[in-house]
Amino acid sequence: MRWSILRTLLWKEVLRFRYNWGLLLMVGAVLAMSALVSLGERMGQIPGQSARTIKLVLLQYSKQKKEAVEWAAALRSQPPEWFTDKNRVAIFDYDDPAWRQVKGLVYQDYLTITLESNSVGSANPWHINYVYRPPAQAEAMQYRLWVQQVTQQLRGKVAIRESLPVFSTDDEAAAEDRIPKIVTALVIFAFYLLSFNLYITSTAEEREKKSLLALMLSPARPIEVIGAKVIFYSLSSLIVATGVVALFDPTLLAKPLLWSTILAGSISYVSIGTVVLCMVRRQSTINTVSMMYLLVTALVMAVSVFLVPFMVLRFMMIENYLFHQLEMIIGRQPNPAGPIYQPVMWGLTVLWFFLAVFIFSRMGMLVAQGRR
Amino acid sequence: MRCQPPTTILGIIFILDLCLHRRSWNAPVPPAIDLQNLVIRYGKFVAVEGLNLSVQPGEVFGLLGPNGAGKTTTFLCLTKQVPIYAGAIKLLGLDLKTQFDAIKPRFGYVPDTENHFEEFTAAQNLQLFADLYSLPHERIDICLDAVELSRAKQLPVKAFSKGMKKKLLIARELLHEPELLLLDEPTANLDVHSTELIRALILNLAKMGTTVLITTHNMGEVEQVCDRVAIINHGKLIDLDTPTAFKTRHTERIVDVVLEKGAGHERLSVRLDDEASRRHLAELLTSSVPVTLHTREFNFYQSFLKLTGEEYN
Repeated sequence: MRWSILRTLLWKEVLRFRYNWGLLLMVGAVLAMSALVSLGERMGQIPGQSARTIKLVLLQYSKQKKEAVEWAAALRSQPPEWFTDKNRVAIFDYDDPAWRQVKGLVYQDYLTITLESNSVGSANPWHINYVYRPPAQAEAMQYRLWVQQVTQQLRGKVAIRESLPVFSTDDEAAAEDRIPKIVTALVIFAFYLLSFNLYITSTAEEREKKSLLALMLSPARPIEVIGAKVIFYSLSSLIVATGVVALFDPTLLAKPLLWSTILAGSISYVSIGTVVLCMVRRQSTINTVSMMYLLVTALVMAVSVFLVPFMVLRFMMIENYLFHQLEMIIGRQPNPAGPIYQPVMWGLTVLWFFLAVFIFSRMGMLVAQGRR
Repeated sequence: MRCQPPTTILGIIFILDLCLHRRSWNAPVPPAIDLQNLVIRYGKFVAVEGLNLSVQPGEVFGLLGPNGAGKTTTFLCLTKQVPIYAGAIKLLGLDLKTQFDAIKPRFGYVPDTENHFEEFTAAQNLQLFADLYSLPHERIDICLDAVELSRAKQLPVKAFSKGMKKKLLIARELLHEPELLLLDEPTANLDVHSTELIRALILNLAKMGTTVLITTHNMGEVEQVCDRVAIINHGKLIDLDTPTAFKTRHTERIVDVVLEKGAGHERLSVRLDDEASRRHLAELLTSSVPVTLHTREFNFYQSFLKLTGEEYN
């Protein structure tokens, strides 16, 4: 590839990008979505985001028992550090009229703590009953630690027996943190939008209008014409994907695994796009293929959870590895599958890349020709 | 003391150099376009069958034929958009199959449909190609001037009329001053003034040594600009000659006469090739009153129809 030719062709792509207001709007929308998710996450407004789930703590105790009254007073006087009026968190006593209104209801953002104290010196342990919904599971752990600390300060090392709600796997799945999933979906959409959809549709449009042919008949070689497009669109998707992650949490950019995954995503999508471009001739068909790709990918990912043949298909798809890896990285979750998933993801990327190069090198000038 | 090469060695170098130059001076100039037994197929359908053509440098060569004759397919093959099934093509002495990258900077191709980047301005379109050919940007103004588009330089191409787009296409292909120019219906959709402008441009290019291969359906254009014309039909070469030779070979000697006949008119066509017909015409003219008398001249269009077998009877 010759740099002077490549530079000119890249300038052409930038110019086309500049004139494409619809595309700029789409890119802006993806970034805005990420910014909104980030903002929402910081404000704690999204259900399922465990860090900000509990907004109301209900403390139940019997006012007839002196120990229980002391215990509740100690808890109220030493609230946890995250426990602020700003977060609208409050402790209601068992006999409080406000509590009576909500008694018996356990909402997603409620935590009820029931204190059952024994007389001092009793052999029976103190009993604490926690009631909360699956989304509050992770946060409830912090409250349990707080209750234990305050209790020990009040009574010394006493035996505490805790009763916790038992959830099914479905409940836990429903409660899992959705924010990393949303951001991951946005990153993958950025790959799809720029490295795949726009790359193939804009190239097909140039092919249909025969402006691609004009470029191919100039001193530029076919590999330079397509190469400039590949570089431009993969770089664009890389920048937008990085922007999406950075808007959510800039500290994630320090993770090398994130860069590795984003790079693999960008290269693999542009390679798949090149294969499609070489195989499909008509622009209208290319538009349909692009739409179908998105639909089929989403379908396979969703259906593979309960249908085994789709599971096999899922493991052959780059999206499976991209989604998993990005979710782990963005959610800052432990990534035990990383040592396997990263090489497999790169293996698939390299496979697609060489397949694209092989098919393209066999077509050469014919890539510029539209319908036969 | 300066060391000088012996006179004998200098003499040998001089003679060798002379011989090498003489060889290049004497070498025959290769044809600008050389089609040897060209066969192009679309599956089982043979679009071009054993076409042999040789276009000399600096020549304006017309390729004519009815729709589906194989003209466009030949053009597509010359620009490597359709693979060669059999035979060979040499452009500017270089093999199309193996040396296309070397041919590309030396030839220009004006397709029948405009293929600009429509959202770009005229200047941006030409700048893109000037940069690809590593040309100075002054060439942009020169070429836009040549096709009278200087005033529209900063307009987006999507605002252009069809004729303006065609002229911009020609300007684009003139940027790098190609040795060989392939023009597929260059004056289609152009107004009378622009048509004359383009024809003058083609003649001027030919004067400067550019080889032009042109397809058109305009027979007047063929007579006006072409040095030689090839007529193809069903993928085969039917005839190849200069427009003048065509004229000589196909001039018709027929007189169309309308005579007064009672209350009406009588129309007659009389051939002037044989004595009896000529005498018959003389008798008619003395016995009846002629209303109109028209001598048929050479008609390229009629000749073309006859040769291609498409004549309407």
